[in-house]
Amino acid sequence: MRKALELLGKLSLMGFGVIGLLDETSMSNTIALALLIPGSVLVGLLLLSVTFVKADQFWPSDDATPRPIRIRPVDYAKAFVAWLHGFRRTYAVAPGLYYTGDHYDLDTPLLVTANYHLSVFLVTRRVRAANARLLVIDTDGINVWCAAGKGRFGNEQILSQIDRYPRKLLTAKIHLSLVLPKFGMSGVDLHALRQYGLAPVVGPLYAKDLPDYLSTPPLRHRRVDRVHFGLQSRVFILLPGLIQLTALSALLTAAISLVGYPLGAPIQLGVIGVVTTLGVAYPLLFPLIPARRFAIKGLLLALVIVTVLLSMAFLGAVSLLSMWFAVPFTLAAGILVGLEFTGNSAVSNYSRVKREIVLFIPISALMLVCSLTAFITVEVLR
Amino acid sequence: MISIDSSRCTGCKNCDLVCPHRVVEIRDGLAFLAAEDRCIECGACQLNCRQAAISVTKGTGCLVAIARETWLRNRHTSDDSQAQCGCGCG
Repeated sequence: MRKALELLGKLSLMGFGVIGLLDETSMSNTIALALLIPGSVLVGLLLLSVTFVKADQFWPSDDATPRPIRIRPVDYAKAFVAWLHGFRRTYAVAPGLYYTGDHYDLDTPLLVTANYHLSVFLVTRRVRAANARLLVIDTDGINVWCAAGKGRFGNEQILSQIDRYPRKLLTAKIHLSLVLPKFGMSGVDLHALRQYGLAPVVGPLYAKDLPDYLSTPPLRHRRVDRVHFGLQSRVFILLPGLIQLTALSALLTAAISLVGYPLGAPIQLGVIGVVTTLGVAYPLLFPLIPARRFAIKGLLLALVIVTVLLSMAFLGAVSLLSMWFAVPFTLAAGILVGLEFTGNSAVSNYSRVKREIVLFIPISALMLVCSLTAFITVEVLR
Repeated sequence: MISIDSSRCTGCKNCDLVCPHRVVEIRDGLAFLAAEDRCIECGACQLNCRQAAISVTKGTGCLVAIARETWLRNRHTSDDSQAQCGCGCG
């Protein structure tokens, strides 16, 4: 059923692009094509990547031999797809013990990471110059941060991999030292690991800090690291977030086409324009928007767009009648884009976000209903 | 929501060590909420506090996860072998 739905999604998106190519009779259609074709390609790529989930999850579970790990060209392609997919589960790596150097060395640091391909890729890329070991634990192909929050990156998974190997293969000392990613600590009980005879060390938050960290033994706890959600981080997640929003606006424009509007009609361009503007502006301006709550930030951004739309309508650039559905739609989209960003943000507080969602989702839904009612009324009058 | 019961705290510094946002710091030998606003309620400090001095309303601050647990009653638990990731990462 799921595969059938995915296939249907792909076919409809391909059809969407082809129809757009055939229907190039006006300037607005040309603009629509310029927006829709890259959008369709991105959405298609997104859907294609979904089919690759768990593609690498077939490995012999009884194999207890440390394996060398190298970065191949295909790993860059997989990392790219994982990025486009918004760091969701895309490709998995076989859990187990790996080494980056020419030979397996008991005296090299043992770094723990998730079996999410991108996690392994980023860590390996940073430590390949050094002779390090990687203990890849089975997080079901989920990244370290998300897996830790969901109980998939924790003591159970770490110990299960350690128990796979004879202790003398892991260390010649009494206590086995493990470098843990700080992002995974919401799932790891350090005390319980110590009781198991391990010597866990909390390492850096970010893989980019690993070379410096590893270059100054003995390895100690990395206490000073702190999450930064600056412009660079927000730009990095902009495109994956935009792909999700493009998929939603593509579905909306397709639905509008079903009621008789040709592809590239102003209403469709409006929907894509509003959602794309919100999707780009929100992450870029996130700390600058004068509000604390995600939904309010989205609402404020939407109000700016509404002001521009209304100004254009009063100047005669767009239909005044269309504002009856454009305004509530833009406000609803602003709230949704704001709340959708909670999943991409590194600063989402659970209790506050929950209160926002319970309050603002019904408001957004009500505005969408108002927008739809206005759209149907305008259609009937037309 | 995060809170610290100072009477239980022994100043072991585990909370300071595991917090990704450096919300908790050690002052005068005890855990102190230095930047409560930055807390994302990941629960790392609570899990690593042997004295049970820290309590956190742990959860995933993400639209899909919260919508699921609020309206679909589909809250993920660590016992879930399928690792249903509310925010779509799994």
